[in-house]
Amino acid sequence: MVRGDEAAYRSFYDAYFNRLFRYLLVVAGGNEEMAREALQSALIRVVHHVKVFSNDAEFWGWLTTLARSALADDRRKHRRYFAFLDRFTRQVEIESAGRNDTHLDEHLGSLLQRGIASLDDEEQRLVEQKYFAHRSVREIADELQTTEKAVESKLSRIRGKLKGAVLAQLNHEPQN
Amino acid sequence: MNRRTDQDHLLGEVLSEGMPGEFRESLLTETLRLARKRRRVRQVRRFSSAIAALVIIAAVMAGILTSHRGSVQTPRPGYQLILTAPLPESQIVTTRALPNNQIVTSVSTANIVSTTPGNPDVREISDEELLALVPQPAALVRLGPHRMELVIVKADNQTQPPVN
Repeated sequence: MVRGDEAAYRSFYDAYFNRLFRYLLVVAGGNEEMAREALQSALIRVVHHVKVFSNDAEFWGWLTTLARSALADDRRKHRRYFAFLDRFTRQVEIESAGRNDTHLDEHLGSLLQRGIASLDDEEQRLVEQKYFAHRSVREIADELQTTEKAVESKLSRIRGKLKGAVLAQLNHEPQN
Repeated sequence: MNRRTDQDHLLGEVLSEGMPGEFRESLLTETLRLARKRRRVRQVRRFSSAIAALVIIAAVMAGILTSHRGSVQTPRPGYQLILTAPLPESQIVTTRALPNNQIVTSVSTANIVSTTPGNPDVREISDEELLALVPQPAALVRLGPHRMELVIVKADNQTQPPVN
């Protein structure tokens, strides 16, 4: 990446794109749009400032620092335009809460578990079959005597629900 | 796969749900474009540095050669070499003859009289001194403010012609 090798950037995207987005989602308090903008700014900063790190932990620490500063800059921009002062205060609290990177995935995992628990029984079964029992969509469709398309559609709806639940919990966390 | 990995996989899919599919690709494209640009900038910078280093080395070598040549004591020429360079065309002033009808000539119409101071040895004499110079009896007859006649009387009653 330091040499501008494109293959290295592709590998970097495969390994860190989703992880960094998840991190920003937590730090941005579930504000998906802000997390996306910050991710974009952070990735541009990566190109400008990338250097050699001795291990993954150091690299990840550097990435999260870049991401946080990108988010802070974007927030300042938004604040100038929309004066979201109350939201800013909340974001600062969320940010300080989300600084403990090691617990970030666990935290998101627990939010996801809470989301799954809020689904109805049929939806929970579908999630269990697809993601934890590793059954194919076709197998599930055969068992439910329906089409693959119908199962895909249900799964997509469930994922949307879970996402909404996770983001809503992130959004309300500092007030809890 | 353990449950945690499964959960991580599910979380990834859940959070990317509804995200425009082209978002990741457009970001990657932009990132790669920036990376290429930076690589080009670095190459240009490296090339410039190499050129600068070569120039410095050449300058140092030239300095060393010059000082070495100076130590050989080449005889100084017995003349001073002056180098000239032609002026640029914009700085050269040229002249040409006027046509005949534009030439104005003049001729002298007045007589110029030049005078010289008189001989200081010639002395103006008075009437008495003039009469004293004549050996015979004489008389001065005034005819005007600046005109007189000298009349010399002869003894045999013959008169001399008047002298003006």
